[in-house]
Amino acid sequence: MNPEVSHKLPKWFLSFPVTRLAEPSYPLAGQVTQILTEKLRGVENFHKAVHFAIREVIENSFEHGQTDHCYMCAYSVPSKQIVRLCILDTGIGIPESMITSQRYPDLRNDIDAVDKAAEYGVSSKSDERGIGLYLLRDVAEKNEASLTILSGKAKMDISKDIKKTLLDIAFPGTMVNLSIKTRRDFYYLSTSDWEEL
Amino acid sequence: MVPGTKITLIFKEWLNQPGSLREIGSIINDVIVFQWSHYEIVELDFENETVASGSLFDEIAKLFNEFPKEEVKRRLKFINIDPCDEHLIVHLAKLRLARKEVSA
Ligand SMILES: Nc1ncnc2c1ncn2[C@@H]1O[C@H](COP(=O)(O)OP(=O)(O)OP(=O)(O)O)[C@@H](O)[C@H]1O
Ligand SMILES: [Mg+2]
Repeated sequence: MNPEVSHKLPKWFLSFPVTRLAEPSYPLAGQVTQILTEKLRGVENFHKAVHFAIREVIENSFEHGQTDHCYMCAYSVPSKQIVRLCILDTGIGIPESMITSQRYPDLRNDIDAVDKAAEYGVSSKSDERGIGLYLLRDVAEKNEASLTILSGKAKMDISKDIKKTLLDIAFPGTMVNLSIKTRRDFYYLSTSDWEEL
Repeated sequence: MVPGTKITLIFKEWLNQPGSLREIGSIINDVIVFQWSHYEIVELDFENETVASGSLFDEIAKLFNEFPKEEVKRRLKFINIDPCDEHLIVHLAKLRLARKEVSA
């Protein structure tokens, strides 16, 4: 980060500046999570949910976006116990990826495509995939969070409710914005272990 | 397969392989199935490294498509695993099992 900018940042603000990623770089997700959650309450599954979100979204940009890079920035506000992150790519976008796969012929517009992409088992690649966006949506819906997926002409805002907007102008790629708050009873998928399955 | 035998595989070695997390997960699935023809139990040692990848773990959960639930539980073991990763695998396994039940 430019040092002139960084020293102006307030102390309560832990940030990961806008960074161009040229590969999914698996250790990075863990390192960013550590920076972001350092000063937040030690709710273990919250840290892991942030780590998970970063991994799945970055992976999607490279795998489906047909682009060789994406951007990420993030910050946390310890006084509010919140992490906010944004990952964006300028690739083909979710609607095009879903529509050109011809796996879901009923999609009428970009909103249908993004909505469908966030269902369990839905993927432009195969019947045996399609959990990334679904799990992310599940975590956002069941916590104090807001998840925005902007791709093509679709904008989906997911929190306790879902708001879908069809935009006039298309976003040339995919942007995922997540704002998520830690709390003692934070929900992160199952709580059973292997023996209890 | 020789009853009572066990092999321990180090998870980290796969994480540095090229390919998407899905692809890495798919290789791990193949290796587990292959080792089950030689050993009764396959143990994955995570060495306390957090994986946090749904796609990768979903490939492991796919074992429930191919083998009976109790057999997978008995013959696949995890050690030094991050508890959240274990919960993630269990969550994905439950989703796979539910899907298997619906399509049965
Ligand atoms: N950044 C992106 N650019 C283009 N298309 C995307 C992007 N992210 C998601 N998609 C589309 O949304 C679909 C669903 O994404 P999701 O992550 O849920 O599943 P997947 O990546 O196909 O499989 P999995 O995550 O289970 O490995 C993808 O198959 C792809 O068509
Ligand atoms: Mg994905």
